[in-house]
Amino acid sequence: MLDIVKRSENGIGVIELSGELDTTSSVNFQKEIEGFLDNLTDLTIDMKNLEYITSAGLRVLLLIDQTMEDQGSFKVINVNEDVMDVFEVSGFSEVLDIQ
Amino acid sequence: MKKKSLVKKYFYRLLLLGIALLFGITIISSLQIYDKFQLTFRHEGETYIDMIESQINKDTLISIINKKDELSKIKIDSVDAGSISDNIKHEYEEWVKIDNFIYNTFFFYDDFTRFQILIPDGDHFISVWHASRYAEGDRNPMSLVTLNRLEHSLITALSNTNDDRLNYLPDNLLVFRKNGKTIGTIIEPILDDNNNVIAIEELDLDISQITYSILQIAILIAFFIIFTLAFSLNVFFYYTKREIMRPILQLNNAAKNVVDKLKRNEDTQKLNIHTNDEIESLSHSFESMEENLRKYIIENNAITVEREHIKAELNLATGIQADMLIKDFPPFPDRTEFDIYASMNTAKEVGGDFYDFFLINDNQLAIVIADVSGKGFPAALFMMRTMLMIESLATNSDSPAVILDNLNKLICKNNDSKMFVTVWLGILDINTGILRASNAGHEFPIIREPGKSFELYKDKHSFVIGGKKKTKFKDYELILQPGTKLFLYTDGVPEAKNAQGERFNIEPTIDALNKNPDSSVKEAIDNVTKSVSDFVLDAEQFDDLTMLCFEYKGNNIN
Repeated sequence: MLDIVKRSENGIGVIELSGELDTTSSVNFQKEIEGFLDNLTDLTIDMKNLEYITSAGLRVLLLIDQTMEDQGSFKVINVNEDVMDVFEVSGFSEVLDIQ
Repeated sequence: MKKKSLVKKYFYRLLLLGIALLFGITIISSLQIYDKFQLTFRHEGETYIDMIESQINKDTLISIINKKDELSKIKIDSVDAGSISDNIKHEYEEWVKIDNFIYNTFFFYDDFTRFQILIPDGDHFISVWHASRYAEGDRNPMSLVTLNRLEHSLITALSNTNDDRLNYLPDNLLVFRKNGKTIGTIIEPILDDNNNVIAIEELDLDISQITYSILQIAILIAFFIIFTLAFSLNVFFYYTKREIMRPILQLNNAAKNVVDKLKRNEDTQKLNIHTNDEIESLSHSFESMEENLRKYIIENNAITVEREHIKAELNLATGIQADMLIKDFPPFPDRTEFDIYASMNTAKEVGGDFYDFFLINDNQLAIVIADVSGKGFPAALFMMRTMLMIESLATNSDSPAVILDNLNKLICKNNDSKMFVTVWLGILDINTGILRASNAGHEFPIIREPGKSFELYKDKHSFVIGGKKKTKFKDYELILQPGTKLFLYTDGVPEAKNAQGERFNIEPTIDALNKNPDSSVKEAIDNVTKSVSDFVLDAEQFDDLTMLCFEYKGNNIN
């Protein structure tokens, strides 16, 4: 349901998400990013192909946001309309750096 | 004891069988069941050789002739084979070769109908006797191979010759007898005083007799082979039955119902296989498998008991959670100013959604709907914590934003698991109909003003509870006219998925409410529930489904 492509170089990391970030896939997503965030000073999550996100997915984003707050910068890009709705309703749009 | 392989076992058995067969055939061959050939040598009326041979071959003939040589002391000049005309040589080469052993005698068969005797005479041959001539008589040339006839015919032949030198009767005579019966002769060259060949001795064998005896031997051997094979196969099958079939049947019987027997804790069939081969190994493997299976079943039983235990606890937990939510409607039967109905269907045994409403005082009604991130037990535990906190915090302030702020700070303090909860909290002044509300990342409420239809109300939003310590919460106010309805829900409603993976969405939710905008609060929720279940059909419920509908009826109705 969720494809995660991640790469990092010189402390700059990019994660590309495609599919749906829901209860099941967010467990996997959380496992995938464990350790990956270490030593990152800049993280970008590309949501171009992310179709949907649920509260469980938001929780992982919150985790990432708080981890990156101490390490450097974190931004989310290419957010589609459905995901943006969820961000707005949940107030995540106020908290995350969405570009 | 070292294990033998079945292949080896059977290889040795087959080898043994082969050896037995060979041995048997050798014995039969050496039994001298061949026809016996009797050789008799008479010279000038006296018998010198009377020997019995089981086989006639070149060597036998040579040895016989050597013996005859000694006896007769006849010196014989060799005849120049080159003097045989090319034609004859070509036609009878084989025979010439063989018959050279019988000195310088030439007799030729080309088939059973022709037979002739040639006597070398200087540089040419005299045909002494010819089968075709013989055939002119009453007798069948096929039978001319018996001694008496030949003797007779030879005499006839010789006596028919005008050459005086041929007026001799053969008296060096080798006689072949088969089982006592004469079947052929060898006739020596007959010489005059100057050692000139004047007549020949003749060898004659009835081929058909020999063939017949070979057939007899062949039949005997065949019978022996069949008998040996039949016997061996019997032994073979006996061993196969004893060493393969029986153990396999035993294993089969043991394997049957083994699981059922183990489950009932009954004794299983004991294996008694001592074939010392792969089958015995198999039986040992089977026994150890059975032992493992027994352990596994015991373990599995324990797990099942454990699971039942957990299930019972889970049911209890579901009950406890359900008990926290108000389920008796109307909840405040003596309050006619408002009407409330709510429902929650969890995706798992316990859920992370909750609704709540309680009177802070006589004039203030708090309404809460909330959704914890995730589902199941973690969400349920977090939900209970949040719910109790809100009830307790609500007594200290009439501003939902302040209450949420306090709640957020409390939760952020101890939230390593980064769980969060979206909360919509409203406090209604029952007398004035003024609703102060604050939305912490929760779904937009749906509001229906009197005489209008249900519409989504995009209220002011702040971040979820438990996300950030420094989140700012804001209040907003709505003045409810009597007859105003407020529909609150969690994301399980618009996000309900059908089997095709499509979502129900917010518009159909509003449509379902607008089917009958004047319906009671219970009917409103029933309408949405029905629309959602019609959409989802038999797909698995994905998220908790929680709804609350509130109607303000005004303060002066009674």
